[in-house]
Amino acid sequence: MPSTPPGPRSSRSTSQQPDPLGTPLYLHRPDAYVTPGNYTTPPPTLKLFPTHLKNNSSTHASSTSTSVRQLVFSSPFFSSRDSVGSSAFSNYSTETKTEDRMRYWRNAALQYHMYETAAFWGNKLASITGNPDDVYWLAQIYFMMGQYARAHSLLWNLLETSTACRILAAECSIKLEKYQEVFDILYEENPPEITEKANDHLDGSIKLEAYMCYLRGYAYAQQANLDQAKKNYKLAVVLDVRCFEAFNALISNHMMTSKEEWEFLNSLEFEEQCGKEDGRFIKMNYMSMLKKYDHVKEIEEAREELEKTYLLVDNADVMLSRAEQLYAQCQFKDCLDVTTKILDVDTHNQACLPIHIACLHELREKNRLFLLSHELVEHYPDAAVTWFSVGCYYYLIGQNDEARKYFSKASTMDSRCGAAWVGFGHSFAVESEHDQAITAYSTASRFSHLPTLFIGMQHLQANNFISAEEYLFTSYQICTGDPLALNELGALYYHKNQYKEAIEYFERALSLVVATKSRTQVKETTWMNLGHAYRKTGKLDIAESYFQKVAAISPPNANALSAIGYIYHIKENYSQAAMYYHEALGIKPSDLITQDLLGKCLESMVKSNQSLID
Amino acid sequence: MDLNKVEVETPSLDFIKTHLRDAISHCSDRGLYFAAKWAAETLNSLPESFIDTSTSGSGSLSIFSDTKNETTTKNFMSNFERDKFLLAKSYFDVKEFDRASFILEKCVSSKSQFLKIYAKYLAGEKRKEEESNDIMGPLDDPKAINKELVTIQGELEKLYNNNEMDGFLLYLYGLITKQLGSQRMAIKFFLSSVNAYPYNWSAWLELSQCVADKNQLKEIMQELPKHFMTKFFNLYTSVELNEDQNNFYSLLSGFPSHFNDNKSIKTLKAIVHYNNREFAEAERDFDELILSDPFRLDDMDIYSNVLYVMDKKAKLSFLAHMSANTDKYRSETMCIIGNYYSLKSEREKAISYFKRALQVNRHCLTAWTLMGHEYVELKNTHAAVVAYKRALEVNPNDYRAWFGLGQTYQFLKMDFYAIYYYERATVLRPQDARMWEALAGLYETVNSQEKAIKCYEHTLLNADAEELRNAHRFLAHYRRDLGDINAATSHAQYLMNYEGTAREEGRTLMNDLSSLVHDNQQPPPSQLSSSTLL
Repeated sequence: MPSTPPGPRSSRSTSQQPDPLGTPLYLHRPDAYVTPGNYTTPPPTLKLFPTHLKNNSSTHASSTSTSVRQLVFSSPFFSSRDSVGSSAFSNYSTETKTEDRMRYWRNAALQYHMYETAAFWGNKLASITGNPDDVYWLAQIYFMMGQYARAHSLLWNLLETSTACRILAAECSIKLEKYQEVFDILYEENPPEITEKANDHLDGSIKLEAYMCYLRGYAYAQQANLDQAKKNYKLAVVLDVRCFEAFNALISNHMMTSKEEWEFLNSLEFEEQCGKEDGRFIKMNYMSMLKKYDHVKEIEEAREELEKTYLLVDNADVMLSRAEQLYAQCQFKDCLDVTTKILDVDTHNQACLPIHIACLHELREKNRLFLLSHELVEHYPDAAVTWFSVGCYYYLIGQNDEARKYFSKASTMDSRCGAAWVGFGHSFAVESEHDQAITAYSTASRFSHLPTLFIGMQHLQANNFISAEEYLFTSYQICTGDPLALNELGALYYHKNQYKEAIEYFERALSLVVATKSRTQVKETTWMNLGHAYRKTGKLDIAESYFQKVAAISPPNANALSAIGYIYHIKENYSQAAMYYHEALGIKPSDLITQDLLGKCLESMVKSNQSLID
Repeated sequence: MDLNKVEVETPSLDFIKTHLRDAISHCSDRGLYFAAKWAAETLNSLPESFIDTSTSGSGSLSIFSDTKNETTTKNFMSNFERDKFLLAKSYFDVKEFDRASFILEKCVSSKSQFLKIYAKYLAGEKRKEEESNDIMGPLDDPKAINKELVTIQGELEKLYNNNEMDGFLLYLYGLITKQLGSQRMAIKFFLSSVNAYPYNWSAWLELSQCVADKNQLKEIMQELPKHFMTKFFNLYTSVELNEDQNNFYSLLSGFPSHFNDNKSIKTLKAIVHYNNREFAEAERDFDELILSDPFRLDDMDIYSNVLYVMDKKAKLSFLAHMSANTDKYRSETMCIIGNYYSLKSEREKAISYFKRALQVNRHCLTAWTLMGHEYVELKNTHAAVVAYKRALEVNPNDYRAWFGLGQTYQFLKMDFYAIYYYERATVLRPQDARMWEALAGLYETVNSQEKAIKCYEHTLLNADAEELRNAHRFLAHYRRDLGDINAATSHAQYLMNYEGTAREEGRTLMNDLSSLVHDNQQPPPSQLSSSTLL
């Protein structure tokens, strides 16, 4: 169990002085790039460096490099060079050694992204002193310049010295796509001496062990070993709840089912790690990111609390959570309003874009989608979501070939962009090419339960009942709260002539639809299905009531009117039946079945002596 | 003198605002709508001033003294909202509906709400018209809907649930509900509207169109307000539902004498004459109307129908030229011209004019029905059926369209369809013998003899000479076949009252029947018919 090193901590604490320019300035920045620890403590003075350079223990080096990191990465928040100089460089003139002055030059250059300058001085420093700290910093500079191989080779000899060096080396390997090396550097799993109670940094930065787990998880994910990736991500979050990278990776890649997510969230130790208030804050934030199918109420409460107590009403992430909920309830118009607001506040917020594009597509807003796609292509040609947007536009106007081109481009760019695969599948499904649609969907099926559902739907349309049943059930088990899945299951049983089960599923779908306050269009389909199922089982009155409900919605539905007519026909009420058939034919004159039925009905009317007169 | 140096006192903000407000009403009163729009826009671009927060309004008060019957408190407008309302109204007057609706987004008074929703509705209607602009062509879409309806309905529902609706908003709600297909609810809303504010004739008109038949009319009778407007409504509806003439006159006598010179009542009288085939009286009434109101075009298409039936080419031509002079582009004018060409048997031209009438006004009933008649003449049965069906969508109580459909399907030899349509026609006008006769003929064809007999008996009640003769002949034969000698004899006697072949037939029938009575036998029908028709 590593003890907290007395030296650096105590001296650092004594040198802390509240910096008059420090604390309020972070409030001027609209977006929250500030990680929790940075703004509360002013950067420590460079005086620390000389005392700890020679110390080779891993913990010391880690604390040093953390403090250095703090220095460099907190200072950009100070807009004027004077304020930097006032605290951090106040000792510049008193430094006697050239090396120390060079360190100042190097760090100052780094702060303003003048990498060549920084590399120049860093290089000299490393050669002069051979200090692992300086070498580490040179490697950092090379990493930020994008010269990963250089950084990697520099660090290779330093692996034993500190965890921070390991982490940086692992990051280089990842950028170089040498994933196996990552495991060598970072061990397959955390070594036993680094257990859950990793050392807490008072300065509030995230535990390095958590970082290690995250990096390992990332490497596994890149190697497509998703189980291990999931495990490591989870561990990272468990070790330090503030490790948002890992949490985000878990949630946005849909690595867990709703139930798993919820249990996981509740198992995290927010309070123990961060104290009551902060812990609650973090927990609320994370909760608002979960999947919106289950536990809708709790998530809504969490969001409201964030909005009211923490005044985050106009925050992009909180609004995004609201948008996701509306999307899950199929309330596309409201969802679009929220996402538009988000994009006003935070242009091209990457997390919000897929939902925004999907809503535009659902509401058939061709014009806006066109403009958005053009903007994205101009600014972010390398992002998968850009090409996804273009693909959606072509899909909306019905040019499926072009749509496919762009969807496949999007999926090539980011193999984990499930939405692109789903779009790809839809473009096939629309043209009734079931097999290709199924292939596309199966690639996407790793990412959420919806593609499995779509595969099931395709099988159903192709009349492969057994496969359809399998897929539909799988998707249903992943997410029990999705009314679409229940609807499809009901349809499956209807086609298999098992009307009682069909009715049961439709009823359940209906109750869910009502509970999630979805649009009437969703209810309409379910009502139609229920009507047909009841009609087949002979309960004509109940069937009629459902059809009447559908017919009362606008625009009037020709199928519903025709179905009502048919029921009256069966009941031998020919005049009413004829009236409804006429109405249905008025809406859709080309409906052959209704025309046929009308003819038969009129004939029966005359023959049975039923007439409108007398 | 250098104009820049002229000293002009900058007036105060309140001064500018007050005068601009007045200007809006002065200009729009005189029909200068663009000037009013400019004034309104300028008014709204000025910053807020003290006068806005004060509740007493200056400027012409006539627009703002609202209807006294309203029970809501929402008819009060703040000054700020009033300016917005004026702007929206000026946009509305120049037909920029979307703009009007957008300006009023945040206004809450009843008047503003009405204007906002109504403007949105009209904008949607305009777009709907633009989308489906081809009559009977490949782009014709009878079910093109107004896309704003659903959003409007949501808004109105909210207002309704909060009990914030005045008579006008209720009327609007009824209108939207009717368009969305739910007639029963629409009737309910229209009733509330006329009870809240009885002077809105549009609401009465819509109510009358929703009432499908006499039974429904009876149902809603109790809920109508006791008001002179109700008398008008009853009168109008009795004409619409083709009710008995006596009913009409008795209703008319219930009117107070102030209304003796009322043009709309006169028009209704003329229409009643036309419906009852009293063409000479109808012509006289219409002539009187034109004399007192020479530039009138309303209901002139019905006058043209009268002239058409009376075969008065010259007068019809005169009417056509007169209306074209007044306004070439109204649907009534187009219908009149169409009728004229139809009378001259130039069917193609007639159809093109009817189509033009429909482009102007998609809901012009006469145009659809007459177009159907023309297509029948041209033997284009498919188009005729479409035209008649569209006519029926506009007004399901138009017996001419049902009859036309029946005729078309009879021509197409689809007897069962024809029977259905004729039946619908007879339900609407039981006193019209032509329909009963047609129906009877069809029943004969499908060997439904008893029904045929019933129909002929109906014909007897109302027929003229030609039809009577056929009816009697048929009935005589059938009664004899069924063995009812007495009835057959009486019918045969009627036949003898005519001349020509009918008399001969009658005589032979009488002879047969008397022999039957003597022989007390029932000769088989087939033998007897072949022998009698020597």
